[in-house]
Amino acid sequence: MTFSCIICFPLLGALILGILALNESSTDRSQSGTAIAGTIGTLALVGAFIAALVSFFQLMHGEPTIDQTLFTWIALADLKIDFALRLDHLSGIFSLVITGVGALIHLFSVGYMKNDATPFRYFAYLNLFCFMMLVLVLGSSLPVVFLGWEGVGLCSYLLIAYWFQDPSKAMAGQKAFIMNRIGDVGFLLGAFLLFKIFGTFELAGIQEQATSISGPIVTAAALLLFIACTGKSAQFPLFTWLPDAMAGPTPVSALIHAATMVTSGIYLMARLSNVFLASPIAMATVALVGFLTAVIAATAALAQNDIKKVLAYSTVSQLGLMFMACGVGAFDAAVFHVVTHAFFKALMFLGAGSVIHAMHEEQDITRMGGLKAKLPITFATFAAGWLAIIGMPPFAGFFSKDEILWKLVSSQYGGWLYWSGGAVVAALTAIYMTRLFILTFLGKTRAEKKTFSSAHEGPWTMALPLLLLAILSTIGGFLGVPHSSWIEHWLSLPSAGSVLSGNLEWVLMAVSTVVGIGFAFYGYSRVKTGPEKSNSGFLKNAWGIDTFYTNGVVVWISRSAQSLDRFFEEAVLSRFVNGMGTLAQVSGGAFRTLSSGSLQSYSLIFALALAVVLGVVGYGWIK
Amino acid sequence: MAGSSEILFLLLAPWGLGLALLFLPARFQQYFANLAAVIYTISAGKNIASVLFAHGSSQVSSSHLTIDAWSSLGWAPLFVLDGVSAAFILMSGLVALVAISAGGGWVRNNAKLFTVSSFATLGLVNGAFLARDTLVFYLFFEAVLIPAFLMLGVLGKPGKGTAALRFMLMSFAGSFAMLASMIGLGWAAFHLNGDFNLSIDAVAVAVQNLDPQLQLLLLGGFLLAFAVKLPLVPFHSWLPDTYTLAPTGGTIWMSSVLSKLGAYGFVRIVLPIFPDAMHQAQAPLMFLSAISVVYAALLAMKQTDAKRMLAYSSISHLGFVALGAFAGGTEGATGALFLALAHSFSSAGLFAAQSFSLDHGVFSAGRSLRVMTFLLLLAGVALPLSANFVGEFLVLKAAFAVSPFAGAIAALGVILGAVYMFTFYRTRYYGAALGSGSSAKLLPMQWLSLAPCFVVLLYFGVQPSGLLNLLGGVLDAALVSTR
Repeated sequence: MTFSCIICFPLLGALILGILALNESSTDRSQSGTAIAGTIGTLALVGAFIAALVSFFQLMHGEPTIDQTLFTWIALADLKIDFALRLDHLSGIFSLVITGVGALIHLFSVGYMKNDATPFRYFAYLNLFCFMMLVLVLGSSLPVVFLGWEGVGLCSYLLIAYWFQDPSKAMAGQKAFIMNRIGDVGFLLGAFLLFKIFGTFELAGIQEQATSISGPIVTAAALLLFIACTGKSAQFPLFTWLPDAMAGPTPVSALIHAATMVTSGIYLMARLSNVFLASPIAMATVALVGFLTAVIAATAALAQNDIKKVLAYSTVSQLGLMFMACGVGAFDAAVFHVVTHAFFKALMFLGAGSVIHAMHEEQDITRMGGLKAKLPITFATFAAGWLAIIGMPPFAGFFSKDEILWKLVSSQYGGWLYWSGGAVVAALTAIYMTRLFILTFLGKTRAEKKTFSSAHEGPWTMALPLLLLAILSTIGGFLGVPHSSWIEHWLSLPSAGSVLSGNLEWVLMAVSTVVGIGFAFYGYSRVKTGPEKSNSGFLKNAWGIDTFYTNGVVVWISRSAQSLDRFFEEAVLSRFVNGMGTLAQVSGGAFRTLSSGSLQSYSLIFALALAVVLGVVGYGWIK
Repeated sequence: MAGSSEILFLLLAPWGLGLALLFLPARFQQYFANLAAVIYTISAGKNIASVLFAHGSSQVSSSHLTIDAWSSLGWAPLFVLDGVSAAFILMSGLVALVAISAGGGWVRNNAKLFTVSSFATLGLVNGAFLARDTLVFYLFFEAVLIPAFLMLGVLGKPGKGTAALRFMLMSFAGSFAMLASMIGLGWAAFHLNGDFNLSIDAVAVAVQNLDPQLQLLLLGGFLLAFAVKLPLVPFHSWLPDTYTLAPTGGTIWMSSVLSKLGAYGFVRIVLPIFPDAMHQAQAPLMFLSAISVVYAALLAMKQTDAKRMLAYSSISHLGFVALGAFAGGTEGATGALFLALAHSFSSAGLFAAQSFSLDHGVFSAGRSLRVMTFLLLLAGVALPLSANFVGEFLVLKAAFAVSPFAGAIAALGVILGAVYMFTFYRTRYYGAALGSGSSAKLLPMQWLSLAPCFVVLLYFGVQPSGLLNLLGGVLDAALVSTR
């Protein structure tokens, strides 16, 4: 029973808040609304977190899985799809992150959104998102996962376009939904193909049977699922929605676009790792796409001045790193990085929110600086996040990033090429994050005097989540200490074999740490000479891929539709039917009477129709 | 004739109510008609339940009615009330409520014509859904055009003349082809049995003995009629103008109920009569359906008029229905009919909501209307937990199993559907103008139109199994018996 509470609390919260949202007045800006809505929303998540924790302890006491079938969803003849949930070691980790980080972000929102006009709507969406995200990770079969998969896309849309009065924000939401939907179609087709191969939608069944299969059909299935993952996890070529998604409220970016939803792709690959491991082509594709994404996004992050855009591209880049890990068969390392990344990236997004809050909606880091003095808590906690992401020992990112880098070289699918790719990404990460950190917090301020002098920390509801996430970002890495990794042991996911000896790991760890710190200093020294104003457009626009879509693909589809409309629809079909019409008019006047006729003639026809029916039915009945 | 009074009720009650409305004052027509629709739907539901669940809920039964006035000729029209016809009849009853509640504003001047036509339509489609005899089905299938033509031709917006003519012409062209095929079937049946028994079972047996080429030819006539009715691209060019110019209530009747005669025809007439020919023609037909989905979706993206966009979206969604029907098997056929039923409600609701937003002459939408429109739109894009998802899921699954190629093309429609639906919503319901200005509340009559659609779509999105098995049980038996 406790188990199903994990999803029931957020759903209940979403329903209550949603009903209240229908009647909330958008003109009455009393702050008590946010307090009430925030309390309901946060309590729902805290409840879910406790339920997840209790269930997780049951797993730790030896139960391999906890299963619960809530009801039968789709049943027809032999096909039976239950709305069933399954908690195992993998979904247990994800549930804790979603509900734990989720609860903190709900709490943060109470302070951050206190002047918002429609807090009930906001928290209803947020709770609904958590419900869908939990369904995604807890669903025991592909259709149930798909409900969560599309559901989080919907909630992401609703929250990005939360301030829908602004057309660009509404557009950003739509873009996210549609790019996600491209992935969703890959999911559906992949699911159908898997059903064709294995005769089941059950995740466990597919994972089990996939070890004994190979060939092009499983490659096709893996690649279709991979398309789904690229959409949800913002990978090349479907990553361009994520930077635009920053249009949503900042806590939303922290929750959905950093800690949870965008990690769904990694979850799905880890969940069906055997399907991927069965196809070397799919594995190579995953690794290469991950690498490409990580590099494009990291270079793009170098050139952004919007604090949220830097973090957004950083997220894309880090997800690319996790995809690389999956591509070499290190699913456990990828999941480990999902966890630590959730801590430090959520922390930095919330920190950015705190900065934006203090600076009256200013997001341009070239107009910040010196905030260390004004926002000591934000500064200190953000520093923990910064140290974690650049891989400074012993912060969380150090362990998980190094685990990935080690697997990139040691796995049978890996090699030095992958390792150098990962090291480049790590170096770039150190540069852009250091730049961000310095421009925001250190040096002399470049902000307007009035804005700067009035900047101050938010209420405790904002400070507490920052502190807790900072602690997690500091110590979270000890979940996966090399050679005695708890998380690796806990997950025990199928993985590729190792081809290198363990001793090299220590060497590489030292190398990558030096690289990280070295490039952080390099970034530090570059920034000191003054912020560069002329950011290259190529990097800033993430290699022009988005421009290619809007000016290329979208225009092309639109033109094709236009020419279909002009040529086929109008010229061919209409002319054909009109020709038919002329023919009919020539051949008889009946239709003309109908189309120009009076009410009497219609009534006559009506009576005739009635007569036909009564004739057929009535006559036979009487007889 | 015991146990068949329920069938007679379904065939005749709509006419009785239509007649009664004819004598009631025009002023309160909408209220009377609404009341009539509610009473009719409830009693129809009771009648149907008493037939289907006569032996408890575990065993679904059916009821037959044979009219043997012409038995000397060997023609004894057969009506059967089973799970499938019951579902479509109840859907039509509920849509009547939706259409009458929604169509009010537009047809004020000629309310009686609209309400009476509505009940005439109801009576005629009930006949078509109940008919298990090809000739009887054909008669009802044709006669339904008359009230539809009245709603468009008399109550439509300017430009309706051409639209109505085109609608009629294309429908008749399809019908003539079907009539020709039926004559062929009659001849074949007469040859085999020595009588004019045109019941579907008898005809199916007769077709088995025909030359495969001839089977294909006869199949073509039926396919054409249903392809125009549904419609499938390229037989759709009557639809955009017709749906756009008809009054909202009329559009709802056409998109939600009349088009379903096409879907019903594919699954219940064509599949059982021509199993072998359908198997032969399967690949091109599935491909055509998939093209239909994508083509109509692309055109929907280009529309600036919301009603026209919804019209094209209707073609696109019904392409999925055809895809499922042609993919066949229990899953394909059941998924197709389930999706057809779901589409009736999502499409009716969206057409209604769209017209409510223009109630005040200019676009305006209060919060309730915005929320209801969005929820119906989510069903329109077949999000999980909507009934549309269940149908689309089964259809795509069945299609993908038969032809991954056709399935993958049709799946593109899932993406394009999101594009045009969300663009529609964003350009109208989002933006500065709608911030807090629109406070218009939905009228009770408008709730009566939108709420049933939402409730039905959500309920059957969460708990589809009962209905699926009701449909599937009947179809399974039909498909097996003809193999």
